Parts: sequence; structure tokens; C-alpha cells
Amino acid sequence: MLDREKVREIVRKYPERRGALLPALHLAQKEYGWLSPEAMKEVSRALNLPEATVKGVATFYAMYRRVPAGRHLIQICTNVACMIFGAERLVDLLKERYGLEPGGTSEDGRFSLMIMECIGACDRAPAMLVNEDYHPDLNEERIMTILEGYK
Amino acid sequence: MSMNEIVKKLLFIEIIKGLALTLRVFMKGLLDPFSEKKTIVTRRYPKEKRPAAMGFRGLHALVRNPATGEAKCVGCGLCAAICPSRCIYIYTSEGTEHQKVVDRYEIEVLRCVYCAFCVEACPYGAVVLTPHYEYADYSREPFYMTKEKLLQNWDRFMGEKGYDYFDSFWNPGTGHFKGYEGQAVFRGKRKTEQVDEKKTDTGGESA
Amino acid sequence: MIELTIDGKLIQAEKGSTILQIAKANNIKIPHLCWDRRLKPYGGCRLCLVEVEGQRKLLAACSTPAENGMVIKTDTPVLRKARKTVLELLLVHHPLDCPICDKAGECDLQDLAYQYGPSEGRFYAERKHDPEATSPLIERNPNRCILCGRCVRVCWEHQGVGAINLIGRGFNTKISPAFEETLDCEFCGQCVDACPVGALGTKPYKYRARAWFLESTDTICPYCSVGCTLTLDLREGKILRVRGMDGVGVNEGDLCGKGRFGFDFIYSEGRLTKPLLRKNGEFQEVDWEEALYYIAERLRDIKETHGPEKIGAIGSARTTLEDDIMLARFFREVLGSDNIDSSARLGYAWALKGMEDTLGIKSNPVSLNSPIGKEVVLVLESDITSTHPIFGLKFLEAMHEGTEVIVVDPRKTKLARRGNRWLRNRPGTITPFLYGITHLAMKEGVHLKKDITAEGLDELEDGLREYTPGKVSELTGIDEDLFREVALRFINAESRLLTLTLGAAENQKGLETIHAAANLLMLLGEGPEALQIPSDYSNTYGAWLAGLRPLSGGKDLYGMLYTPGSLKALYVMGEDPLVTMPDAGTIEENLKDLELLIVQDIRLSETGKLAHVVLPASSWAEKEGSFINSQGIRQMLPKVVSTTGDSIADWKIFRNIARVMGHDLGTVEFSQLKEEAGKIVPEEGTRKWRFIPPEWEGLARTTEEYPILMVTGNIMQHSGSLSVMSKSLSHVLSDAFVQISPEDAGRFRIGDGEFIEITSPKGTVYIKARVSDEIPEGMLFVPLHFAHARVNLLTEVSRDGKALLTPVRIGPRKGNGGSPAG
Repeated sequence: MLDREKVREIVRKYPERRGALLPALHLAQKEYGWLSPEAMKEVSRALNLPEATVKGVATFYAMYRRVPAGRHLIQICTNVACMIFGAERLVDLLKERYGLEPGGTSEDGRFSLMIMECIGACDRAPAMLVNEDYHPDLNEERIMTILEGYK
Repeated sequence: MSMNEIVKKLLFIEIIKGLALTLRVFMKGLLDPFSEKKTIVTRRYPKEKRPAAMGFRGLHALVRNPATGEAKCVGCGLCAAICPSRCIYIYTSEGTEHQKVVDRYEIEVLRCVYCAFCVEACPYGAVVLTPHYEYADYSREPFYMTKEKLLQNWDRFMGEKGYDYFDSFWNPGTGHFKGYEGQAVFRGKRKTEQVDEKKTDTGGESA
Repeated sequence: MIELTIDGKLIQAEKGSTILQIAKANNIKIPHLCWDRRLKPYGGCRLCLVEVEGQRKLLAACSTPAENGMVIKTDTPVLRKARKTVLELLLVHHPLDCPICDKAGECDLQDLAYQYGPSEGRFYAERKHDPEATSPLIERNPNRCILCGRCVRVCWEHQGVGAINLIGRGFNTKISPAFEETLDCEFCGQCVDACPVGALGTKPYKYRARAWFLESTDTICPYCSVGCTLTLDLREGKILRVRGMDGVGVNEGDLCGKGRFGFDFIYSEGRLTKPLLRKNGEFQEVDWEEALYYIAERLRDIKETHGPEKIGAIGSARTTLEDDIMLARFFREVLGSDNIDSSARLGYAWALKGMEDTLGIKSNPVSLNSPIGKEVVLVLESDITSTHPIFGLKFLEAMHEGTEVIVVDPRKTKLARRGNRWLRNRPGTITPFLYGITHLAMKEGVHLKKDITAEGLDELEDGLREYTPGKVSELTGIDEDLFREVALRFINAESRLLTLTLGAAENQKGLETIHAAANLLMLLGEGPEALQIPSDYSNTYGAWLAGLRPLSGGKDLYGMLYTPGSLKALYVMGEDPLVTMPDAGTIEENLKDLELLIVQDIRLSETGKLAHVVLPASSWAEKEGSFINSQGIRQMLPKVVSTTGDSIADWKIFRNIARVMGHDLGTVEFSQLKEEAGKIVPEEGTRKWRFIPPEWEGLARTTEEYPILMVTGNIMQHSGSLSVMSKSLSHVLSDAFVQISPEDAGRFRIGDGEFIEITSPKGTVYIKARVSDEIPEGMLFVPLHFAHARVNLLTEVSRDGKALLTPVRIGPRKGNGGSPAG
């Protein structure tokens, strides 16, 4: 269940209920891992906004996931700097190891992979986010060690 | 009256001259089928019919789509809109597959002025004036054309030759609108349906 | 005021308006697709680009505020090129199925493409191939959509519904309800009118005609009392669709679902075509002559044997003013009876009486724009957006302009959801709520600021002493602090408005509510303008003014329908008391006792089935006439279509009966009646204010046996018993239902969609339950429109205008219907 108290707290920060929609959706995503129709309906009820409005916003932004995700979300950057330093090789490696396709989830539901546009870590490329943890300076061994830490 | 004239009158000279001409023409007519030079202009209508020129505006017909066997008409109503005598009535409705169905397509032939604007207006080449012109009748009833009658008209008076008729007479057809070579391609592959580059010159009246 | 130049023309304009608005006002045409008068500027379509001197870029006229000294050009080669490019890009996706599309001929995109038109597209098109989405009344074709978002914004900003939105992003965006389900909304169809292309269309009109086959006529809507102007599109004498024309009529182009889709009741299969005469217990079709002679003879007999006071008439709130005048004249002049009344007696009459008692006025026309510009608006237990949808829209509009809209209602109505504040009270407790505010106003000494000369102030103060915030909170179930806050907000506002509806179908408000509301407003120094009570139906107000009420001591509706043996003959014109009026059981008994019951209607109504003679009347759009709407404006209706069968206009029927009875009413022509109707003016009152002490008798009593309160009312898609004849509206809702709260559903083990049994002391009915969180615990809401449900068998009637909520008990349906699970 969405924590109504937290939603109210968000709503208080904005002059209009609609303003609270983005953070409320983030909250729901954090809660459920992805934005299921039920999650969106709940946000709509909590904010007293039409379901269509919620769905419209949720489908517009790429940051919201509308397919079920694994327990951990890997977001890896493949923009120029990371690419030069071999991010694409890392993506291939993930596919090899865990059967992860970009945008997909591993069979055991452990990881989901998303290809990110620049995460602002070009100085320490290649970099990735696992859930909310930031991991720079990746190479083939390091990425494996890091990921082994997420069960 | 001079002597000369009197003699001519008595001997029926003028009449004989005239009859000689008649005999000459008569003989020519008898021999005409065998001669090189056709000289007879009279036609023995209705036994012998005058072929209609390309684009002759006779009785109306609805084009049958060879693919479906139904009328090509989609009921867009442009013919009815352009018709100066307002003699076309179209009634459409929604079909079972949510498609547009032309329930009735009717032409009141007696009010038609044969301007063929309908044919020009039709974006699908679905209505046509056939070369058929012999449809006099004793009552008004046969002049009210329903969709079925109009389709029969197509079968009877146009049929296969009708498709040529559209290709070579009614120009420009929809297919003739096309872009220039080297157009930018925005998305996807260029559609294969190439516009028919066939000759667009018409036979015209001389045909 | 500012001055600017558009296309070389020097123009003066209001500061703050946009370039497009100014250009429109000055008849300068700037093309646009996404702009709509009713909505905030969006600037999405980029067609309204204009050149402004000194600006490097082209500016969107719809969203650029005009400034002093601007030099604007609206049509230059540069602009033409820019617009052409925009159109070209739109046409990359837009399918060219104009020959099939219903919008062709009145399509903005088509017109613009024709005007600027690229005859050769530089791009090869990728078209969408989404299936069409159908719903009972509104068709969506996503492929034709240009994503201007007008429908979305009208639905949310203007209508306050938000049923659809732009779902997705980029090429794959489409307009859709949230989860691709069938559209489930109010079906107002405003989105259809807003759509500039053929992406949205109405189902009944789909593929029925091309735009250029249609002839348009304006007329007035037959449903509620707002009196919207409908633009009827006819083909060969048949109405195919209804549109609102931007800026036309009191509604300025807005329409609700009833107005837009409900016109087809005139084509209902149930229309009467011939007079019916009961012979040996069975109805037989007869010709007019026989029916009229029968009526004339029977009426003469009854008048002679029992006297004219035994003959009564019930008029209609939906017939034209001219019909009403004729009915009144026929009864008063030919029969000599003053027993005339209409359904207004059960609702609007109490509003008028209440205002006369207090404010001393005999009529109080509403003003549609009254909510706009007020600081606080209080909506009292009234679903205005359903009963008077276009009036309801003004509350939303006012809210967008900064008015605080406070809704007090047990039901979660649209205004409750969209308003600034919603207080959920117990059903039927709006009167103590008002007492509470009045009490607080007195205690705070607000009234001392104004000179109050009206009498009765002391009695009022005495009577209200007990209605302390604590007590009110206890009675209404509203939190005390919240109540106090809202009450003070209302009291201390600079300008304020109270609004409620009082209709025959509603049973939670009454005379005492009007008194309480008027008391409060007078105390705060507000005049009648601050109390807005719209009349029920299209001509409720007109019927009242035309004299469809006892004027010289005749029997009123209560005396005629609810008093056994009071009448021998009854003439019912265009009304169906058995469906629309409370306590149908008593009415039915009394009707059965009559020696002569004449029913004149457009279809065989429930009441008609008991009649001795049924006369077919021509309906709305089949006759000329006029309606007086709740604003007191008389609006003419033209005859648009030919009459059904042998039916004739109501006023002609009365003329004919009078002639058969040997009377010449003097009026033979419509023009004379029209003139007579034009002379009708609302009565003035004394305008002397008087406070009425509280008279509320306490909460409607629920008992152990009858633990739930049943509230009746009108819903969005239906209005009275007329709209049920409309096929289109029945597609949305054709079955009776009762709304029940999830808590009660759980308590009584009732599932959504199951049939339940509702029992009141008056009887039992079976009806389908709809579990809905719009309803609070302990309340049922039942729409009255559906004849087969007979809900009004359960209700009671109050002769002194008291609100009578019906305590009932409910349970799963027993017997052969099969007991539901649980």
C-alpha cells in the first residue's frame, strides 16, 4: 500500500495537486518496483486526479517503469565517454552472464537492465547505477564483484 | 418561253437528268460494299448503331470493383456535392465490421444534365457515364437508378473496357498525382506501389 | 487599453489579451488548431504563428500577450511557408481517408490543407493502424488524431472530468482513457465538438451523412432548465445530430450528453401515432374525431353531474409555453375549473414559496454566470453538474478564476471531487448546516455590521440558539473545526453565493432548507442574487408563469393526486406521475378510482396505461413554441421535423376539444398564442424581508427495522422520464440501479451488480445494486427515471414541502431470483 501520509507530505509542498504527481509516482515506483495499473490507480486516488492524467504522465517520462522489474535495477550508461571506455562490452557481458537484455529482466527476477543516457560521470567512465548506488570506473571484473553483492 | 425550253419540257430532259443521277447513286450504293471508297453517310439506325466517342456521356453506371465484385463507391458524397441538378442521393451507414457501407446510391436520371462533374469529382473513379444512350421508356420509374441498376449498367454497357476508359480518358486520375524523384524518405521504406507510368495521352475525339 | 497594429490596421485592445484574441475580435483570420476559446492557451499546433516587428522569431499568436505598439503581420510569404510546413508535417501521419471520414467538409485540417496545401508531401508517410475504439456514444479513431490535445483539455479543464489523456510519448502517443478500456465518462461529447479533425465522432452520426448534405437549424434543448441552444443537423427532414455552436445561445456552445445525444427520443418506437380509446377494458386505436367526441361528452357529463371542481389537470414541465397557456385557458374558460397544477409543485414551487416568505420576491431567475467572480460559492447537497450541467460548468469556470467552491454533499459528486473543498454531511442535514452558519454569523456579530430591518430576527436568534457548531457537527457528521472554518470563510467572504436545486425527484431538501438559506443570506446582507435555485426542466418556470397552478383556490397537485376521491376526471398533459412523483402507490390507487382519465403524451406512459383515453401529442421539434428557462428568458423553438403519425400539437388538441364542446376559445392561430405568451412577465413581490425561525424537525429517522436512508434524484445521463425514450442515452444507461456504499455492501452482503430488495413501510422493490464510493455509509442513492423499477413506490410525499428521506431496509434478493453468494 502506498503510504498516504507520505503522499500528503508531498502534496503539501506543491501549490497544486497536479504538481505532486511526479514525486508521488516516484514514491509508488519505489514501493512496488514498477508502476502497475493498480499502482497508478492508487496514485490517482491519493491525489484525487483522474486516472487518465496519471497514466498520461507516467507513460510520458522514461524514468517510470511500466513493466515489472527485477529486485535490483541496473542502469548503465552507454553515452560517448562510457562507450569509449567499453560500456558496450559490459552490456554484452551482462547478457552473457545473466541473460540480461537492455530493458529486460533476468529469468530469476534478480536484475533488470536499463540503458541510461549520460549519468554525469564521464570523468570516471564507464559508470552505472544499481538501484540508487553509484558505481564508477567499471571493468569486467569489477562489475561482476559489484553485482555479486546484490542478491 | 423560248423554243429550247419548250423542247426540254416536252422531252422530260430535266426529269431524265434527275433520274440519271438517282440511278447513278443507286448503283453506287449497290456496289458500295465492294468498292474502296465508302461514300454512304446515312446510317440505318436502329439496325446500325453509331459508336459513341470516347467520353460520351450516356447512361450512368457505378463501377464494379473487380477485386470484390461490389461497387467501388465508398459514399464520400463528392458527386452529390458537385451535382448541379442535385440528382444524386447517397445513404450510408455503419457496417458490422465498423466499416462504411453504402446502402443506397441513387440517381434521378431525368434530372441529370449529363455534365459528368460527378465522374470528375469522384476520387475513386467509381461513377461513370457509359456510352449507352438508348434508354427511352414509357414511364418515369425506369429512370430512377438504384445501386443495383447502376451496377448492372456497368456490366452491360462498360464491363472490361470501362477500366481502360478510366485509364485513358478521365485524366488525371488519382494515380497520376505523385511526388518528384529524390524525395526525402521520412520513415520506413518507400511504398512499392509505383505510379503507373503508362502513357497518359488520350485518344480523344479522334478515336 | 493598448494600441497595436495588425496587418496595417490600428487596433485598440484590452491589456492582457493575446494576439489571437484581439485578431479574432477584429475579424482578422489567423489559422489555429489547438486553440479553444474556453481553454488556456496551449501553443501546440504552431499554426497561429505571426510575425512581430522587432522579433527575430515567429510568435504563436494564441499564447503571446499583446503589447502596446506591437506591429503584427498575419499573412506573409514567410508565415505561409511556415504554416505550410506545419501542415505538411501533420499530414505525414494523418491518413487521407477524407472520403470515408465523417469530418470531411467541416474539418479544420482539411480546410487549412486546402488553403495552404502542400499538394506534394516531401515525406513518405508512416501511418498508424490502431483499431478504432468504440463506446456507446463516442467513437475514437486514433489514426486521424493530430494530438492537439483539445479534447483532453476540454475534458479536464472545462468539464472537470479527465476521462481521456495523451497516453504514451512520441509517435506512439494516443488519446485514450487510462487503461485502454471502453470510455466510461459523462458522455457529454464536448470532446467531439472540440476535435478539429475526425479523430472523435459521435456514434449515432457515424457514417450517416456527409457534412454538406446537412441543413442546420437552431432550437432549444428540451431537457433541463438551462435552455441551451442546440444546433440540429438534419438530412431530408430527419435530425441526425446535435452540435453546440461556439458562442451561440445561453450555453455559448457547451452541451451536455442529454442535449447532444438525447434528441432521438422523438424517433422512439414507442411514440403514439393514433388516439387510443379504452373499449371493454382494452385500448383501441381510434381516429381523432371519435376520441374528441368521447372526451367532450364525458367531460360535459362529469361537469354536469359532479361539478367542475371534480375535474383536474396536471400540466407538463416540458411542453411549450403556448401549450400550457392553452391548457390553462381550456380548463378555466371551457370547464370552469381551477384544479390545475404541474410537477413544479413538488420542487420549484417550494423554492418560490421559500423565497417569497423570506426575501419577499415571487420569482428569482438565476443568472448562469453568477458563480464567476464570487469569493466563496457554497453548493448545498445538489449535484448541479448532473441536473443542470451547463450551469454546473460555470462553477468549475469560477473555480479556475479563483473562486473557492465549497461543496456540502453526502455524495461524491463531480463538484465534490473537483471543488476546492468537500464536506461530507449526513444525507438530509443541509438545513441544520445552514442553521449552524447562521448561528455562528450571529455570534460573531456579523449582522451588526449591516442594517437589518427585516422582522423576525429575534425569533430567529432564539430558535438558532441550540445550533452551536458542536451540535451541528453532531447532526451533520462534519468535523466541528472544519465546519467552523468553512462557516467563517463563508461569513467573512467579500462576495458569496449559495446554490441548490429543488426538484420533484429529489427528497433531501425542502422548504425549510430554502428558508434557512435565505435567512443566512439576509443576515449577511445579501440579496436574492446570492441565492441561485434553478428550476427543474426546460419549461418548469414557464408552466408556472403560464398559470399551470391553482390561481383562485383550486386543488393543487397534492389535492388531486394524493387525496382519495377528490376528483372524478383528470387530464394529464405530458407528465407521468407514476414514475416521476413520490408515493406512486397512492397515486395509482387514486387514478384507478377516476371516472375519466385522459392522458395526452408523446408515448404510452405508465400513467397512460391506466387512462381511458390517450391522445398522441407531437413532441419537441415537431411543433413551434417557446420555453422559459430558469433565467426567465423566453426562447423560441421552431418546428423542425414533421409530426409523428396522427399526433398534433398539444395546444391544437385543446382547441379542438373546445370546439367539439361548442366553445370557441378565441385563439385559433399560433401567432395569437405566441403573442399572448410574449406578454407573460414574472410577478414582482413586496421585496420585504422577513426571517423565518428554524423549523427543522430533526434527522430523518432510521430505525432498527429500516436502517438506511434512501435519497432519490436525477443523474447525469437522464432527466425525468423523457430521456429514457432516447436510444442513445439508453446505450449508456438503460437499467435502474441503486448506488450503495462499499461499507453497506459489505454489511448486507451485497455484490456489485446484484439484485437487491429495498423495503420501506410502503412496499418493496427489486433493483440492481452498484457499489460506489460516491455514497457514504447508511445511504442509498436511486435515480427515479426508470419506470420498471418503481422506486417511487417506496417514497412518501410531504404536503408542506418537508424533505422526506425514506428509511429503508435492504437485503439480497430472495426467492426465485436466486440468492447471491455470500
